[in-house]
Amino acid sequence: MTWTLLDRCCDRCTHSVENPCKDYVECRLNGPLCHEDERCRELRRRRLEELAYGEKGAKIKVPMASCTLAMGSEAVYNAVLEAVEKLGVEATVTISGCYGMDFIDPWVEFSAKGMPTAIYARVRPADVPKLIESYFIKRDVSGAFALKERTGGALGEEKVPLLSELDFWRKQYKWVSRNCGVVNPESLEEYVASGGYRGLSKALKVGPERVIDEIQKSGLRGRGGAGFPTGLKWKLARQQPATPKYVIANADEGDPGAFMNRLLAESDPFRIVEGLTIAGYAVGASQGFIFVRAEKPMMAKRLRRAVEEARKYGLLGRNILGSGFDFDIEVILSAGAFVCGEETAMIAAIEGKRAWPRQRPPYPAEKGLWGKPTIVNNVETLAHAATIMAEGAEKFAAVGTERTKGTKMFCVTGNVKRVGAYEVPIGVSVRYLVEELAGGPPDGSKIKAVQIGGPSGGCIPAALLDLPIDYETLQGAGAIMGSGGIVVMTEDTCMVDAAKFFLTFTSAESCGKCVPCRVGLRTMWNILDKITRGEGTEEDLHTLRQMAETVRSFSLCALGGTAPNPVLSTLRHFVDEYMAHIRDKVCPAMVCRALIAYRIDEERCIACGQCAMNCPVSAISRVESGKYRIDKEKCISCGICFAVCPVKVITKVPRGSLGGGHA
Amino acid sequence: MPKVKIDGRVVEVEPGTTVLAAAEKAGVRIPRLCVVPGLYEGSSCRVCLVKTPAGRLFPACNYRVYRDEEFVATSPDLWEMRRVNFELLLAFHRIECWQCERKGACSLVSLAKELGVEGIPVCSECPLPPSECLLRRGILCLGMITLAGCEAECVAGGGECWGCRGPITRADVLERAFKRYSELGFDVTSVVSKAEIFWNSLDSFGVVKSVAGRASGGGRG
Amino acid sequence: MAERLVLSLEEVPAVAGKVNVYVRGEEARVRVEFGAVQEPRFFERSLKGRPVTQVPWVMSRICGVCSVAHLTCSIEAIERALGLELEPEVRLLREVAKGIEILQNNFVHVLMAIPDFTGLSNVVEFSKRYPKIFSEMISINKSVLGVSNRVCGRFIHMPSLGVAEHGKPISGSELEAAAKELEGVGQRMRDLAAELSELWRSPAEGFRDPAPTYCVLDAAGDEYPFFSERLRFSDGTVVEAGSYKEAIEELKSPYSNAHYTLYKGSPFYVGSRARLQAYARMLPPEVRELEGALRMDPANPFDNVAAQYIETAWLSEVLSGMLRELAPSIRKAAEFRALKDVPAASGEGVGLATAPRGVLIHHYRVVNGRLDYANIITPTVMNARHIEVSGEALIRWARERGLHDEWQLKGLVAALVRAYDPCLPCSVH
Repeated sequence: MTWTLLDRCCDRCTHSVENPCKDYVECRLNGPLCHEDERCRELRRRRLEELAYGEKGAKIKVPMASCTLAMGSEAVYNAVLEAVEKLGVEATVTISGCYGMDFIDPWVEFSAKGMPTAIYARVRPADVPKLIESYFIKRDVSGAFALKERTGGALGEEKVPLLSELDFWRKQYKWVSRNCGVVNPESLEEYVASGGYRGLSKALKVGPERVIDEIQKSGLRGRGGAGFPTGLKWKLARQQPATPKYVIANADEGDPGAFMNRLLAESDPFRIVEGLTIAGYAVGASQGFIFVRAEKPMMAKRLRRAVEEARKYGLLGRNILGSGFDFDIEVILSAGAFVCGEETAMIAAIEGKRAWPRQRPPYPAEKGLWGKPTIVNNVETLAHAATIMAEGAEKFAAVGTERTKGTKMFCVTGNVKRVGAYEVPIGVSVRYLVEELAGGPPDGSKIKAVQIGGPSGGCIPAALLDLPIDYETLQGAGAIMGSGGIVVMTEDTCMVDAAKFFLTFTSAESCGKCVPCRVGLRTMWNILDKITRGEGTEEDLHTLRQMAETVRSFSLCALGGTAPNPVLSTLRHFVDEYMAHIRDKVCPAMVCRALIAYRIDEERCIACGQCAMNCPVSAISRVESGKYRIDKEKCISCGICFAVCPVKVITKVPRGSLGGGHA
Repeated sequence: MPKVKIDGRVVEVEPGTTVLAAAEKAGVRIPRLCVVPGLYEGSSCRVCLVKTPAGRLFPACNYRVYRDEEFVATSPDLWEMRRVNFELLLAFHRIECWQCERKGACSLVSLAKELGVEGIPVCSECPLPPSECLLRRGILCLGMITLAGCEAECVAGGGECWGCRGPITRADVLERAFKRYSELGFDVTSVVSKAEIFWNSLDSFGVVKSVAGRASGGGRG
Repeated sequence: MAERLVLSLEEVPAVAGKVNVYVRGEEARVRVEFGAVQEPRFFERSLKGRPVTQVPWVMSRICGVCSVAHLTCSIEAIERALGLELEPEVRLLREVAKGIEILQNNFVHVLMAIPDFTGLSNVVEFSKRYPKIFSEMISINKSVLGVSNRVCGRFIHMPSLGVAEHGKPISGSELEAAAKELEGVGQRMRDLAAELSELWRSPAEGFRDPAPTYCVLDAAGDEYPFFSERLRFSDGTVVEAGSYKEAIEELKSPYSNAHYTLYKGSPFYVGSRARLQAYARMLPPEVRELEGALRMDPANPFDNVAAQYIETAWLSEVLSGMLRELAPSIRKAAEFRALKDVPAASGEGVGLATAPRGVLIHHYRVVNGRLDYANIITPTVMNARHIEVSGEALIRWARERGLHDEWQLKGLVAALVRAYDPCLPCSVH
């Protein structure tokens, strides 16, 4: 068996899990510390090199995260194994997390001594042998998507850009996501080699008060959405006389379109485990929980594995790193309700009860899990805490705004060229994220609105794209930063329909405990549905507004408290669109089925009959000219003909424009 | 002991007392529905919400006082939002007071009265149990489609309801009422004809007529 | 020198409904125009085509003060038109309901007119000057209303009354209690009369009715005629209900929204004064004494108020007697006997009822269970012309006695109107 960085270097090393050494982590990279031996030092150096280039001097990394798996990275992995064997390439094949750049999935990364590390994008299993052959045998990198560095040792190097030169990479600020896509998420050794657990090690040396001081000094605020100062939360919990105390990592990421927590947990799970351990140490807890959404099994698997690994090497358990601090973590799968992300509901779920939120106060920091002081932190917050402890508060606070320091991961989805997760300093503009990083709409169409903060967030119009992203500024515009999901919508999105979409989600996810959320959201949905059917009245708009305000201010928890945001913000910024549905019975974006009709341009129709063949209600028939025509009385506006027409001569028109009393 | 100021009235209470209990002590009435002390913690129905001077809302049934605090329990905006909220609750309640054994002892009905939410028929106040309903005896009573609030004066006085307080305008209640009228053998048009006497000049009568129209149309089809 | 007199009294005070009185002319020719200026409500027309069982309930809305008179009279007319038989208990309870209304109504009328008989300008002043009498009167009124609630569900638009039914189940003991209450009321009224006697001054003592013809319901035997099938005029003529139109001529005046009536071409009057004159023989002796206490002059139209007081005391005895009689046998009336279906019968019927202010006539024609024709003559209408004639005579009488002050004359005319009727909406229906 190979010696790993986590093992003892020689018999002089006094460290063992039972009797741990305080300097264990530091000793891994810069050791040995307790004795001097060049051989031990060399052992470490060699191992670090092995980790970078593999034991054989060449390494192939295939990302294994939910997102890349969905794009077929497992087939690519198998193809790689097969090709390596077939071609006789001496390379270590390993897995990694995901860069968060979904537009290059599935990718592979090749590295070899003397060669620039190359990333290949959108790899199909069939391409793999060719790629391996050209890189490892021909030493040709010209087919790569990007290089990590230049060595001058490969063919075609000059044709390929450096990753660090590309906008979407260069313009990010990789702080908490630094390891994503870089390290093997299942290897504690790689985490430690990349600088992991220095934070915990330091924390245990300075004592809990100074940990809290450091976090407070950094200005870290909760990354789950509410933005409560993390240091203060820990301090409040620490001050509570009751024991035992608990810490919970909230990995119950449920917003549609948001996946930064999953990305982090799947690509760098140890950082979260380390962060939670630090939190436990700071508040004086001995038990931590990671609450993971059941629909994200790989996230749970990686976190479980990370906990096991950490336990195996004494980074969890009794007397961690000789500090006398006992701490363990249990990974708990949520039942899958959106409301479980609410801290009091999560606590109820962990207690084995129905996941219903309860009224605060008392806050969990005072009375939480089993009535004991409990803190609940988002996993990103905890990962930040671990990084801050390792790197220092000043470095973290160097970026960000006056009120909010540091960075935040955002997921940009929707109509953009480069869907992905990006980490940027807080305070950059929305435009920076959606245009400079994500590249804006793919087909050159115009951005109409950006939905920020998931179903609880709001839509801001294109005119406000220069708004700096911050908890406070976004609230002012009717949105929230939330957990960081950003959905870009172009001109072909109907804002009423979009608001309805989000309410469909929140009203279905309402736990039903309190009236305004349970009934109010449903009522609001009904009104929106009525409007999209062209049956809305101006009075409905008034009722909608009144409902939204009532639900927002009267709901028990943040689910109901924020769920009206998509409606309120669209009413605020896109009221014209509502009025078009109500007064003119027109859907300007041509989305709402009841308000649109389809028409075949008979001049350009090629009479192929595809439309008629596919029409589910036989509303399309041949006319004398041999071309096709849609019977507007029969047509249900399903849009199938529109989709199947090979020459795209079917257009959407407002239903009213066809006349015939079908307005 | 903490001093609690509710709507300007100050009371001293034991630490840990709920705002609701403090308000009762202070003589301030706060509507409530879901809380059952010792059985259910409350904070679900949201009708007892009170406001702090900072504008934050808390359910009086669940918020416990440990230090001097001030609350507003009665203000027009609070009352209006409570009303809208309760309307929501009632919107999904199957109002069929004519078949309900609870009758006068219904907390939904009393809360609807307190908050001025419409949709409750006279049947909720009728002294006759459902089994003795006038309609079962062939007497055309308009109680099912008339707004409550008169304490069913006519029925209590030996007559039937003539609808003097005006029609219910909640379509679902009207639909169920007309269904019941048909079940009991009353012609929809005769119901409307009787209702006309007091309602003919009301805009809200239009709602009744359109529901009745659907009811009779649906019956035939 | 002929003096031109023009008096106009717009909206006579202390009267429900709007009435204007105009007096104009030379000394010898004074004319009072009694104009009910209230908007017509078309009760007779708008109910055409309605199922007859619904008619009484609407007709009762003609007047909120004497709703029971209209309700019961309407019911009577329908029952006659359809030939419906009534159970005796139902009839008795209906008579009680009717009687309580007359009693209570008269009493309120007295209260409203009392300033005219005590030389005060309004009731508020009276209540301040004589708080004990005032609160006793209010308390008596309250007791009567209580009885009415108990027997008929509510004192206004009594919900228990219906065509051929009495809806409110009532027990014998309840009736006993009501009888006792009414007996007490009779005693209290006689006691009160003694006190009132001290302050009672007629505003026009010695003034005599210029047209002494009156009309009442014909009583069967010695029973108070709550309802009847005949009208009786002071000249002894008895007219069957069905032929009321032959005796009573209903006319329209150009200056009023209300009709007026004539009997044999001349005005006549109805009300308590007429009833006391016609049925003086039935008055128990202890009630009779009240005539002396209040110095009632049956020929003076102002003394209608005194007559009302006396009738009230009389009725409290009549009603308590009826309730006592009814109490033991009430079991049957407790059963609900509503008409399930409107009989599809046709017919014509005239209901005659004694309303607080006099004779009330409802005349209906029913075709296939629906109202086809309705004619209503209210006491106010019957008195309308009589008020004018009396008013003219009153002004002449006053001026003969040297009263020329316009304000005093106006006050006198207003008092006269109030003495007849403090409530005029029903005149326009």
